Amino acid sequence: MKPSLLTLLAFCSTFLFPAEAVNFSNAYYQDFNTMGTGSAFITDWSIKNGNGGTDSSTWISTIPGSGANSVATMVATSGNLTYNNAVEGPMAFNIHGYNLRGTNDSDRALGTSPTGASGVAIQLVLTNTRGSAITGLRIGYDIRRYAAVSTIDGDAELPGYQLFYSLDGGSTWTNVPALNPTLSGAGIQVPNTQGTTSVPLTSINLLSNWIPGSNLLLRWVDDNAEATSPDQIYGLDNVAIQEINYSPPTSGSLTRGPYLNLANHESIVIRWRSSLSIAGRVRYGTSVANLNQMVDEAIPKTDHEIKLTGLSPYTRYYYSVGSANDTLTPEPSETTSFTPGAPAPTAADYTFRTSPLPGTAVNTRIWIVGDCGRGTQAQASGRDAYYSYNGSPSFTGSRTPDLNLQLGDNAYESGSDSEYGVGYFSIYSNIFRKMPQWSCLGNHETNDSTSSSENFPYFDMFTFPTAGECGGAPSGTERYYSFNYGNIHLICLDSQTSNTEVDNPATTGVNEDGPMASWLRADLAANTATWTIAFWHHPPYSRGSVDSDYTSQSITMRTNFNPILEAGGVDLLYFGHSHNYERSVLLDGHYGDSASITSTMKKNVGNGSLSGFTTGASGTIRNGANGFTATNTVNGAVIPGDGSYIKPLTGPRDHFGAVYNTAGMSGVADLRSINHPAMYVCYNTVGTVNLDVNGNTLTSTFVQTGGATPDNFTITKQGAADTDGDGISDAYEIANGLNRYVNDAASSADSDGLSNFLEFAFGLNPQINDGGNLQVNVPGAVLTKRGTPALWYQSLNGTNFQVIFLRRKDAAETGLIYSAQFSGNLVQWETSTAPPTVVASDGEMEAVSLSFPLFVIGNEGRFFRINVRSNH
Amino acid sequence: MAFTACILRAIVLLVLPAPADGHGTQHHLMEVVDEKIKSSPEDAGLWYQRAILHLEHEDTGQAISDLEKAEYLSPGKLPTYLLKAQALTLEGKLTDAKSAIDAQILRFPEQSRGYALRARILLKTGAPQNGLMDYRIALAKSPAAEPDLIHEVSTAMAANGAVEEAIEVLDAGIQRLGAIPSLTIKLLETEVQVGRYDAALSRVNKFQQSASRPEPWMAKRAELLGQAHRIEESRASWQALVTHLRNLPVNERDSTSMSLLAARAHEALTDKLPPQSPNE
Repeated sequence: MKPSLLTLLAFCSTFLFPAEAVNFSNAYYQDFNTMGTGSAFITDWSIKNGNGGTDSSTWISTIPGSGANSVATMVATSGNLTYNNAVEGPMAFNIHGYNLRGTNDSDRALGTSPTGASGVAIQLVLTNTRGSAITGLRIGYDIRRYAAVSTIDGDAELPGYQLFYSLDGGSTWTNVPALNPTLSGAGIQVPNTQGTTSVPLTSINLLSNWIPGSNLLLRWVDDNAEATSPDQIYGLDNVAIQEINYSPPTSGSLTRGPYLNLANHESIVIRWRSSLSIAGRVRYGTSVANLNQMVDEAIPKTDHEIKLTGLSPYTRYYYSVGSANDTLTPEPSETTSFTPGAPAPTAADYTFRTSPLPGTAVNTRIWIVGDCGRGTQAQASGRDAYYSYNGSPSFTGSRTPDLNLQLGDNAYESGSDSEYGVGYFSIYSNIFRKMPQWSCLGNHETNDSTSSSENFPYFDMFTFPTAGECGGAPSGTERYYSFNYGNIHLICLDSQTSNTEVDNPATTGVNEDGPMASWLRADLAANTATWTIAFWHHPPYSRGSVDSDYTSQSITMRTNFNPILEAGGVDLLYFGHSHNYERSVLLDGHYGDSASITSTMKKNVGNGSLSGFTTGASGTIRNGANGFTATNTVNGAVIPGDGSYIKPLTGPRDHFGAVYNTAGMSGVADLRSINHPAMYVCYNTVGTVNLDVNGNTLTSTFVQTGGATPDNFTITKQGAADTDGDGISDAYEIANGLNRYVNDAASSADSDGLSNFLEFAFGLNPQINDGGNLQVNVPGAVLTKRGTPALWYQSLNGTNFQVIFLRRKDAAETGLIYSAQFSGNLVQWETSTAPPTVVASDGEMEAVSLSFPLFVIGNEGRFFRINVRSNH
Repeated sequence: MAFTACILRAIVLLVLPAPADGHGTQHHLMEVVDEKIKSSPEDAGLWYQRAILHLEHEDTGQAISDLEKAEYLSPGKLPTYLLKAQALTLEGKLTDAKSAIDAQILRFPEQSRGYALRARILLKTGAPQNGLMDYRIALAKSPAAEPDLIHEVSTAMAANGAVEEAIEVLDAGIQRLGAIPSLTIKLLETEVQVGRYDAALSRVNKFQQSASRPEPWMAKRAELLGQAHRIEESRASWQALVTHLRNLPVNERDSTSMSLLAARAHEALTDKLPPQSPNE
């Protein structure tokens, strides 16, 4: 029910909402977003109502500025705004105005829906503070329609706001015909369907000069439907008012980027640099043709950083960068260094895909680049080889990597901003615009400083997680951090500036962990990802540009951090600093210098390759039987694959080995001995590394300048962890008080006659004498008691005797193989080939049965046994 | 005096020396700077940069020599006394180091790192109260202090009897940086150091609420209860962890981290010493 006018006027006399006049010198902009979820008016604006809407005499096509029933006689209304967050808008009507939802919850619009036989106006008052008279304006805005035009009782409402202005304090009002809306035909068309109509900036010559210090009143007037509701509902958004000769500020030109940081499954940071200082704007959307969402910076700047939030997981988005007044992308030509002939990028090149939901396995490609920042053709050639590796035709390949790891020394010599421009951003800008990057700190980023309290240009250029924004434990610093991508956990450490002290277990009662070690232990303790990958700058194993036996940071990281990571189940590690490619075998427990390595530290001396590879020149390889003798590589020699490195998929994966890959050769390659005994294959050649992680398989490939791929290896996760290899899974040994570091399969902890292995196989407790036959309620398919195999007489189906025994449900994973064997004389045994039938089960175990044969190898079947073995 | 851009960068460096050998890129950098000095011997910044490299090699004599040359060429412009103090500290000449760092602070009184270095020197010389005072100033002059400095200062305070203040420093750090493990763990250890188990347990509850995974904090609670000799509560906490882990989704329960937590819990419940990996 509409309230009466009398009631409204009485209410108005008590509560009025005067808006403040706004200083205006050149331009004004209002997007109403600061209204948030409130019901209070935004400071600059107010609502007026009254006039023009008696029954059957509503404003229809003309609204008078002055005189009776005119804009001039409208009065301030009362009451708060009505907050409404529905996509389709409100369904009620009022004269107080609405705080409406725009493209999303945080995008607001100021709306109206007149009632009480009155029109409504949204008013803004501007004060000329320009210091000179203003003769004209440019005005533009959006009209957001939420409900259709009312045509009940005959004449339709006006389809949108008519704009009036007054230069005499509201006595006389002048309409701006050029902005009057229509449903169709010439002029500002506001379709009679839900949606947004952008009224472009339109020039208006004011009837008289707007003199300095005086006010200009603007009213956007919404007429009223005839007395019978419903009225239409629409709102005003993105109001821009400029002095007619005013040139709005622009971004100038794009001088860096855009590039992508801090990506996770629901947000991303987009950074770029403009030549002029301006509040940046990112427009984005899931269709390259419809960037229908945007985020603005609050203040003008040249180094822009905008975080997009509320994104959908594993979804491709497109974006542009610029400001409210311009768009800098797509760039008119390709500016990436050393790309002669490259076509200009298109709007589709400014894109990213959000990360998958944490824990979700997706096919993932990661590009690893180390010590790249030279700004040379050699660096660009290594880059181009990788782009070609990703498929053609394209200057970045057809398969954009999902993320990029930078191993430090990204810009030589001192990591200055200008060096980063030449040696880093300009070289990779064509891929940085569509691939999030993550980096560790190298010695050249700090100009060799080792101070953990000093800021470096590096930290101003990148946005890395400090609060666990992308998964992992919060570190409180960008020097070291972790993040997740699907089922991969990636850890970045700082070998250059941060405290690298770790606890000495020999000193009890005191924890000497420095902050980074303390954080790393906590991070690993909460990591449930399938894969764990770490990277930092100084290599723990290298005989390339640096010798890890003598480089202090290498020694410290190897001695202090390798043990923590290996105890946490790390799978693969990448490093820079040495300008060579050096790739280890599956290694564990090697914390001393190169002379201290032993064969037991090499968990697998093979090459880990499924497909094999063809070696290049200028390398060394350890493909001899002992895994220690290095020979020089021969160009074109085919090295057969030894099969992938295998690691357990479940259970504690500590100390099952990891591959260490020094890869600081993306800018230049030094000619060195590259003969560290931990390595399988090494090269003195420029290139980068590709890493594909597909579910439980990971493959790393060296992509050399020119396109050759003279090394690859695969790690496969399968089965349950069994540290001591005794056939009993670590999970069972842990849960049942056995020692997972000692082969105790044949022992019997509870002396009940069953070995620990059989207790495991039959799901019993090795610490308690819980023997005896299993018991099953067959009709109910209920396993009532676990126990040893039994004979079961079944009289109903004609097969009188059956054998029944327990089998682990995770037998395939834990490597157990059960087979039933029968004999008539205890000498000759025959293994049953019949598939057992599951008759009952509980959470871990299932009871299966087999028919007892009447005859076994010519004798009457009288005996049976269950053979259990492990294929681990 | 003309400085190159990179030399100007070096002006603000604080170098915490680490032992190194003349192998690889460090050696290359030294060669580069040597060449530059040959062509621009009056450039104080080059001498300063070479001093940094010498210091990384623990070649303190050469470092001090280059620093004195830099100071001679450009008096008062470079933080030569800071590096000199570091070099002298490495040499064990703490009195001389103290003099050098005093001169540094006199010259750059607003720079936090001078006070932090003097605090280290004072602690080594057996003047802990003065050292703590310098640490307080260092923190006050570092409104955006990194975890390293907060950790260092609180450790020094706790070790020298200022436990309350250490806790305040850690609390302030957590307030600003969030519940980061490097500070939360230190905070719990500091509370336990003075026997405040209830306070530590209360903090565990709080930290667990903001953690991405509760399990490590469940284990920490059980550990603290054990340390406090509240054996039954400790066992109940370990048992609660075991039950919680058992009910996790398979892919989480079978992860390395959760498996290792399960191992700790079972070991605690059976009162056994944990089996030792040959690699530990």
